[in-house]
Amino acid sequence: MANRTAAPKPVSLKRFPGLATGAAFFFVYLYLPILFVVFLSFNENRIATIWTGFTFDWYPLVLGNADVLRAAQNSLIVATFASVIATMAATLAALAMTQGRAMRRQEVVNGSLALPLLIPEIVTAVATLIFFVAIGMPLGLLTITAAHTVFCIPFAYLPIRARLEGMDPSLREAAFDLYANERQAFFRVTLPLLWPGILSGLLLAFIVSLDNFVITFFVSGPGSTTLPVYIYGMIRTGVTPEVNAVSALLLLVSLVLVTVALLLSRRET
Amino acid sequence: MAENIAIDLRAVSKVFGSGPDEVRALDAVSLQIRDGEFFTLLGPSGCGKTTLLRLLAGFEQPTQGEIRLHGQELSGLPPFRRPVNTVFQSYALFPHMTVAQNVSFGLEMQGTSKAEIGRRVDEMLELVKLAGYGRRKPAQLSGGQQQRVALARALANRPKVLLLDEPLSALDLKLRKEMQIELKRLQNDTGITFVFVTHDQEEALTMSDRLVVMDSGKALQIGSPREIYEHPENRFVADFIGETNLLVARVDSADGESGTFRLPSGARVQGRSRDGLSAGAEVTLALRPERAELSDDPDAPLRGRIENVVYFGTDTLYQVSVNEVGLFRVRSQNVNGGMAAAGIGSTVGISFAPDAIQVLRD
Repeated sequence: MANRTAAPKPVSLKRFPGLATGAAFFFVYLYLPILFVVFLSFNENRIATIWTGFTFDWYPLVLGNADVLRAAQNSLIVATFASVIATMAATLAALAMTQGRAMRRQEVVNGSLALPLLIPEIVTAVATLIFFVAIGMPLGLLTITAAHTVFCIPFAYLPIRARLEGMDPSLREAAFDLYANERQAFFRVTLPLLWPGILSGLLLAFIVSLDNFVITFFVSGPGSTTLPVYIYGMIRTGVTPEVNAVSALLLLVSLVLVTVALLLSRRET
Repeated sequence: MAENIAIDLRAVSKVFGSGPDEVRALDAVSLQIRDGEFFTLLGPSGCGKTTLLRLLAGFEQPTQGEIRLHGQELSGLPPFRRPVNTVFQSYALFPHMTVAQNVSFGLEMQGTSKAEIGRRVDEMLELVKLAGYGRRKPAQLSGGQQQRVALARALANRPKVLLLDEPLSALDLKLRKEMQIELKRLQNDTGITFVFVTHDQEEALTMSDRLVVMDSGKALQIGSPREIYEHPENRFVADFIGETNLLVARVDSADGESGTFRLPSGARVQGRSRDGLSAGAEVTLALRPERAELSDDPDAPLRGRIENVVYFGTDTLYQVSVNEVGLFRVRSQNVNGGMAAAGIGSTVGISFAPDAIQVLRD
């Protein structure tokens, strides 16, 4: 390929005084509590904070708990529908933004698509609740899914748009040049190249929906408890190793999905 | 017209944007490209050559004017309905497909039969010397090989015209020279009309049957490399292609064929003239450095002092400072072992044959 000019050597961050200590402190602060939760989920003692010995018992107990399973099922249903719908909307938006004729006020549209990431969640939660009450919609899985779809869109949109923007625009032109019409060019060239971005957006949206608490708490009704809301309910009667075990499981699922999403978005064009 | 015209552009303009942001990328360009010729669009970046190519491919539509391909009006036709194919500057190979899938894409879209596609893909990979590379992905190929795949992919459709958008600019010098020869060979073998975009004047001169020099959206001069180099019509063309000495002079007398011009020094020189010159008018003369020679003749039309001597191997360049003209360049072939005819600081005369002088149009 084209010969690369040698980039100027970057300033070595290693020489920055206190960087290692600062970074170490940051990571401990960030991950120690999480590790602690995982660690305590193996605690034999009923009182979660007093360690008496190792056990694996809490996991079968949790997985045998009908309420936990129902909450998990609700979470999965909501996350699946919300992430799929949000990803479809985000894909269409990203295609319109990058492949259509250059739109006026493109930055405004991009900004408004990403804005939900910055609006305090509690504001969105209250507003969404008022909206559902105003239109007389009974609170349940449907309202949760609707609310989740909305805040999932920016999460799905960002990786998809990044992927599209990194794509050589002449690839699509090459398809047209080789006698493909709009539809053929999309399905044979654009979509296959966009897949990693779409999957990565879908997974991100899925996790964000799966882990959401604040908005879900406001718009859920009786019988439509999701896992994070259920955990919150459990914790009100005291932190038990069961809570830790459920949390650890949720963490595991999220970690796996985030890793897959990252790997997908890194995959080379 | 006796010759078979492949592409006929009539007063084609392309305007981008509107109001104060308006950019006139092409300004009433008219030109004809003959069937089977290697035609080059040459000019600096921003001259409109790529826009012209994109109009031919159908990625853009002209604001005004007509484009005909073998008599058929192209305006309004989308790219996938035009019997032309493009080799992109970035090659634009589909990264998720193998080389063979890339080459067969156009044929597949046109509904060619499987057997025919297989045969044609093999034939094309053979043609670009990549037989056996069909199952590789583009990322596994070198830049030069990717370039060949791009050519095979476009040529597989047997287009009436092949459009090439600076296809060699990403290659290093040695590979570029190889591909220049390769492109000429492909054009000879296939007999397809090639429309080639470049900003490299040497590339344009060596490869083209004919070329157009473009600047600021205008077609300045169309002709064979020899015509363009030997008889540039205006200052831009004379300056853009090769080295040129420009002399301001006044017309002494002129008919349509030749004329006499008076230099600021008072010397009179003979030169090729053009229509519409009246005595006394101020004109600019162009003179290639290799058409001038150092001379001992005391009546030489120009005299000056040698400021610099640069040895180039095949020839030597003398920079001579001439009163009222400035630095004048003379190139002489090193036929006698490269010994400088005169050293720095010496005063010399400069003479030239009458047909070496070209009167410019601005």
